[in-house]
Amino acid sequence: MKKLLALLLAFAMIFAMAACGSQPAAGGDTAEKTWEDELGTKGLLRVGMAADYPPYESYDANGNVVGLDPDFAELMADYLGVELEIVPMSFDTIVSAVAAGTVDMGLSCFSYTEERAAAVLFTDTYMTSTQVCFASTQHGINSLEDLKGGLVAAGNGTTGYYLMEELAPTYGYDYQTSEIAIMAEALKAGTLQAGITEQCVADSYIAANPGDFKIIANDMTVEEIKAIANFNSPKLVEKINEFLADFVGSEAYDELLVKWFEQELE
Amino acid sequence: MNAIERILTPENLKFMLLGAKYSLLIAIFALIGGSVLGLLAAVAKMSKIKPARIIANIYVEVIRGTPMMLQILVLYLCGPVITKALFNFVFTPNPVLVGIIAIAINSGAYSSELFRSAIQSVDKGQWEAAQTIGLSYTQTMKEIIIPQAFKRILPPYINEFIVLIKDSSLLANIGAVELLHSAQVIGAKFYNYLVPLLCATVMYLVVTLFISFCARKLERRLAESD
Amino acid sequence: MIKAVNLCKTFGKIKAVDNVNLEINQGEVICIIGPSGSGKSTLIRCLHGLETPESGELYIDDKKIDFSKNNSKELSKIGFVFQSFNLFPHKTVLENLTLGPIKAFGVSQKDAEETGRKLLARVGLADKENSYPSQLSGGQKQRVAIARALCQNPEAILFDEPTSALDPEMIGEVLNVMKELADEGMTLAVVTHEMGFAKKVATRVIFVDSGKIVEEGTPDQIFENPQSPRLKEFLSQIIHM
Repeated sequence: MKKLLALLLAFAMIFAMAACGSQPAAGGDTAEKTWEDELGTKGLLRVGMAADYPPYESYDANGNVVGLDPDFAELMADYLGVELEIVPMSFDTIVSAVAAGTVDMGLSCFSYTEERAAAVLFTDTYMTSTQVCFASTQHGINSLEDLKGGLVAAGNGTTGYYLMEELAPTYGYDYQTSEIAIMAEALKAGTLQAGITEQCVADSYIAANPGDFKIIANDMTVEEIKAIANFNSPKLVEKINEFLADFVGSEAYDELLVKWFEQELE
Repeated sequence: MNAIERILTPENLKFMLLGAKYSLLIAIFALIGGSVLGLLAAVAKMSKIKPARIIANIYVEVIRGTPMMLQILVLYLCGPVITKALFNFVFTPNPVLVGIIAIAINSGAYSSELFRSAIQSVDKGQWEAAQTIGLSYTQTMKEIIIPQAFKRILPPYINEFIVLIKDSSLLANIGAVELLHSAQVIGAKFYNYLVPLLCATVMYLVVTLFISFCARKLERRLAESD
Repeated sequence: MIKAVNLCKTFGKIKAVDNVNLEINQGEVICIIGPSGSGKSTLIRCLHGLETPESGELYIDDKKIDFSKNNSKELSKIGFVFQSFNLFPHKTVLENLTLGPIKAFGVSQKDAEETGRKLLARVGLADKENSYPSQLSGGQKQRVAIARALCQNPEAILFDEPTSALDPEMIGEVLNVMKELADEGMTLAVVTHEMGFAKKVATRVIFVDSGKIVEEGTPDQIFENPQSPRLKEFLSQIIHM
């Protein structure tokens, strides 16, 4: 039992350190810093992404992360004149990773929420998106009302998850977390009755599996998609906002959207 | 201490404890299911009936030769397809239930070897004595062999229980409520993974160390009765 | 009662039982003697189906035993006592006795316990019914084993070297119980090295060597007037000791 107590004590200490470590550093000397000093490694922009979210980001056949967000990140890095490193991670850990400084930025179709804003800085909006609810065409689910007694899933930590949590009493379904790729398979199998995710992601899974899925609820929320950065990187965010102000709405921006969305939907 | 106060609220701790309860329940039911499967597989492996031996060997080799995560996913995604094909009825599995079944199937394959060696370690004279007083094979197993094999199995068996508690964390991937999953949900909600993960670490350790402690006590008690 | 015809059993190249014909009749007390490795233990184990013979036939009460099947019904008419006792260590003495009758013959627990207690008293261990085998001496264990064999109300009891695993001072108590059984008319077949017991109690003595029955007869014939050279040699070695 003594060993047990010693171990618990040790953990209490790690806890205390972890708690202090995750606080944003007190401001003050940030004024003298430039955005370059705010990068974890000089000359390198490290961006966290969840690569199971086509067309925003997914793996290609060679194991590279491709999609709208990687292209976007590449353009940002070019603008800043630094190297880019894409760090694949699961979606629910990106905000904590950015808050802890493991990566400089997160670019993974993040919509703005107050809860996230309490943990990280947001850049300006680079596009809007909506959450939709989609289901298999095989199991007779045609509307949210049909989900009564069924099982619905959304990605852990996504806005869709919290929306699903909020709507559960109204429609009388159970809900759980699920990675999007597993969710799609589970919908086909009948393990799940419906999934909630971002519009374009749902569209891309629907396009990739012709006839298997359909959307049963559109425009459940309208969200502003932004990049995220650490609290200690206000200069970096300013610099990115400069880039966005120029880029969003330009011809190159339209081309990028066409490249990733039209192609997927055809 | 801000982050701890913010994250480890009574409500969230309750949520984590619920996860811990589920982890423990998953492990207990999987252990029971695994024991039944393991015992059947062990008996089948020692059986004189060739098809029984072949089936048991395929079961054990398939399970031991593939990752547990894969087995969980296959069962989670294939369960409804199988029930639809067989009974024309789509079964909506609760991820906890699927998890228990998957872990029990996995554990059964590993514990079958445990059972087999323990059963074979019982003196041959015990079988003969049982035969001379007229007991059938099943009666001999139940009354004579398994109770004696049990003592030998106990230490590795409790170890298996601890392994199952840890293995239950794999079910987070199919969204089953359990301790690691609770930590991940809280981590995602508060954008701080470290605190809930460390909290889960402590909870796992309290449970596993407590079980090891009880196991040592029990072993000592059993040793005394010899 | 028990009849073996042309019984053969080999282990690898060794013929442990070589074409043996043997009949055990009601009320007989047969002692099987012979040098170590002569196959006498294998012979008596064959008579209870503990070894499956390669060829030959075994009859119990004129019913042929089919070794490819479960013969527990026929075989349980015969009790068996082992050299190494083979008591069930996780059961009490009384449970060791009652397990067979309750599980295999459907006797009620009350009746089985009553019979069990009577038999324990008969072997002089009435006070040990709640002990575990590990708490008993070797002689006591073997007496429990005899009581266990008696519990199924057998027509005959086979003994495989019942005193060989015992300390010398405990041999007497076991042999006494066996002698009492013989005096009561129980049919016994005993593989033994206890020549005194064979001389005094046996109605027939069988000398086995190299898996064959070399000579058989009354104790007087065997011990006082041996015919075959091998039996003479065997007896002379025993007397030397």
